[in-house]
Amino acid sequence: MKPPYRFDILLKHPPRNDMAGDWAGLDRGTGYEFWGLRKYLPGDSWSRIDWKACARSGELHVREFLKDSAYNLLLICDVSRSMHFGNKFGMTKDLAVSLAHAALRSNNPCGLLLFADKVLTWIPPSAAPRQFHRIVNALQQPPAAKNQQTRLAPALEFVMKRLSSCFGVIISDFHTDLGSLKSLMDAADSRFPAHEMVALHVLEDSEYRLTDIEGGLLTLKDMESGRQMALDLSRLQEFNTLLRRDRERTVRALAGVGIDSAVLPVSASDIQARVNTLFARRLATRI
Amino acid sequence: MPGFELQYPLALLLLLLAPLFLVLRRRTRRKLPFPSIMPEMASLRPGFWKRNYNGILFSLVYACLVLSLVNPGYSKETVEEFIESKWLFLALDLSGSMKRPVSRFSDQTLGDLALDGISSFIDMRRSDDYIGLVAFSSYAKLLAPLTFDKDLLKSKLDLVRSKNHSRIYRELGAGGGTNASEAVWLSLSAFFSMLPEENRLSVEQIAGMREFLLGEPGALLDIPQKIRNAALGTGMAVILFTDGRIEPTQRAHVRSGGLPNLVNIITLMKAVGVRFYIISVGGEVDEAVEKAMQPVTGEPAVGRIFVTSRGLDREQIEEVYREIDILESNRNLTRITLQPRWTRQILALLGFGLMVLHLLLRSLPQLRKL
Repeated sequence: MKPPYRFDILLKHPPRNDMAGDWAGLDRGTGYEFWGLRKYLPGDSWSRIDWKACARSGELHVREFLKDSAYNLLLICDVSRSMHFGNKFGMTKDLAVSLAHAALRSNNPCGLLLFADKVLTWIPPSAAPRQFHRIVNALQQPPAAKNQQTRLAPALEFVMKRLSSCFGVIISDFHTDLGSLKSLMDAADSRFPAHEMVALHVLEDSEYRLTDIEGGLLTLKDMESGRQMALDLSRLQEFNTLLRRDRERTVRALAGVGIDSAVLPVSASDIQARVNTLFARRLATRI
Repeated sequence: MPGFELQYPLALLLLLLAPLFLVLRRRTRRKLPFPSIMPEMASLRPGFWKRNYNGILFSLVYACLVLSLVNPGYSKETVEEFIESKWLFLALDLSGSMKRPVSRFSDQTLGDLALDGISSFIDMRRSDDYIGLVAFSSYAKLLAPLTFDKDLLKSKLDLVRSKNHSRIYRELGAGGGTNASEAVWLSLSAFFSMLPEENRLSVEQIAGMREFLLGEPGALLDIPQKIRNAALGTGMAVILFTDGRIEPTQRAHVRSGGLPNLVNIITLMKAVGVRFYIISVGGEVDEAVEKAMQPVTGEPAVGRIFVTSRGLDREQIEEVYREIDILESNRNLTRITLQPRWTRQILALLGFGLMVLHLLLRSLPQLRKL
């Protein structure tokens, strides 16, 4: 399977790994290992200017570093019922495959965890040649969850126990109680957390914003709880406001436990840019 | 509501299925699966009418259709007040004895005097009264059927005046007998044939009844159910005028038995309620007939016998007819009619209208179901 997106995975914190920094990656970036000098280009951070080299040459030079490597990328994918609404799971697969490809391409171990109310599939991180195929196969045939709910906490707890450190990417719609993550992610408060998490908030268009409906009555059924509710869509603006508030609440809740997130509507044409921007923005906050 | 009734009350049981249909409708209602329903969405729930108009209209349509099957009905009461119209038959004896002059100095016969009395009686009656004429001697002849037309009646009376020497007068005068029973029976037959169609007797049925009247008094009369249902006798009367002997049967016919027995006829008149007045000039009335005319305890009298002297004058006759006119005075009647009104059509139309309204509402952008 060819990855549809090309992601540039950047970690906010140096990976807590014995091999971190020693493993020479293919790409230059913001690591800790010095790579070399190059001439200053507009837009480069002033903090990277090597003043000694400037003094010697009379021109502005900036230092380049090796990109941090030897991180364990763990893809934590939600396969609950709500993720099968529209093309959400198709997009989840695309994101996971692309991220796995990006990590494995630079010889970083990559693992996969599929969860709903509990952990359903666990593929430990590995940089083995067959790992990519294992991940793709697992995503092609996700196990059916008996329970209909989504619970993120057991999955993260599982990760904390199994892996001493990792860079986790949670791909979900986050229709779950995020308050329970507070106690779990206390480690995120530390300066160099062992488990660094990023959230990709995948949403179907109708979950993001409803348009082109003039009015009418609609009965919705919650795919997970089975709860039904009739809605009057003549108040469409209020409905969209509620959706926006819910998204904002999710982003705030995730940020509260140290998880940066990006909202990805299924029909968005700039998915790759949004994800790369998320990584870059996180890194920028570190610098 | 007067006279409320249901044509098919068992169909009301179908109403018990209505809750089942509503539950099924609710279960099978199209629901859009959505990843998550937030509690805040409750503020977007439609109002009571928008939420339930579907069920309400469905229930109303269903109820209308079931009720149209049940077909409730009520009776519309119509009250009419009117003055009774009497049916009167005047039977006049025109046998030879009626041809005798009233006095030595008059050229007017007793028959003419009786005709004057009848004429004055016709004038006394209301224009709504049906009056018929029968003349008889040895046999009876219908001069005029029941009619409102007083001029016609008078012209018929003129036919049998002595001075006119009409054919009918001559024929009747030739008969020497006084066949009162045949005349009364002819009057009754005329009543039977003038009844409304649903109660009217056929010629065969009337002939059958006559057979029963031929026997000796005391025979059980077989009165057809149609006559019993018709409440026939109300407002009907036969007035017999004769100067002959009033007997159950003429002596000449006792053996052959071909004539109805007057006592039997009086019994029949009692049974069906037709009044019978006899004006007897000379007072020759048989005991059996007198006895038959007397009222039985607890029952109204069938009529009355007026006996006059042979030296009769116009004043006396008119006095008798005035008395009969008072006895047969027209009553004020009230007719209450109950007309059944069924509501099936109205309910079916209402159900159809509600169905159309339902479809229209569903097509409105604000109320359509997505």
